[in-house]
Amino acid sequence: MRFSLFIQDSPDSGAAVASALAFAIAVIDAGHAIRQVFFHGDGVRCARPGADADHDLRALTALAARHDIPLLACSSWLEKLGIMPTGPIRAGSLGQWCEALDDSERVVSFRA
Amino acid sequence: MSRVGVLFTRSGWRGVDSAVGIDTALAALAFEHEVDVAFVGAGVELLVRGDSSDERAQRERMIAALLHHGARSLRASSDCLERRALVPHVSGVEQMPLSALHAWLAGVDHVVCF
Repeated sequence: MRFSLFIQDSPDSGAAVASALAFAIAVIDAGHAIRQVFFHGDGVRCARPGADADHDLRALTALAARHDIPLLACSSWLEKLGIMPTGPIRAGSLGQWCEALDDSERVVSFRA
Repeated sequence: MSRVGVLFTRSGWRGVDSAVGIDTALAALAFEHEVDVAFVGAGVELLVRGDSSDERAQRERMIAALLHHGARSLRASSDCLERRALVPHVSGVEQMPLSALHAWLAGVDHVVCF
């Protein structure tokens, strides 16, 4: 089964990223795949420079790199919060998330 | 085309959540997915006219506009409304008992929760 993850909070505001990481590890260990991880709302703070000081976020980006999983942050929210992504989380559009819906059997959302 | 359920579970006091949910629902509609919207728990408070602040008024208009933009349904938990003694002011909202939520969840491919 292919999953997409929808993350709505940053590590600063709760356990959304930690939960997403645990879920992603379980999904991959069980032989499933992750189509996309999309950061929306406050979740786009994960794309700000230095955010990977958080252990869970760093582990999630490393996992994504190993399994070639796109990490996208909503460009509108990046602009709204004045964040210029410089790391592995790239700017993306809600349209890319909408396209991923058809390639995913399940979307799982995470928030604090 | 997928069937997307957008579930609001928080009140408008966290305004960012409702704005994100509305944006997401509108984007899914723009990409021709089928969208069903439901309000449960404190999320039903989004359907009630509160103070007259611009932000709340705009949010009410945006929620009402979801049907206009093609959402298949707007449903609110009658139990959660009753428990809070609230009557929805947003037009086009159907009430459903919480016991019908599992059928609502089963009727969509994806659920995003705000």
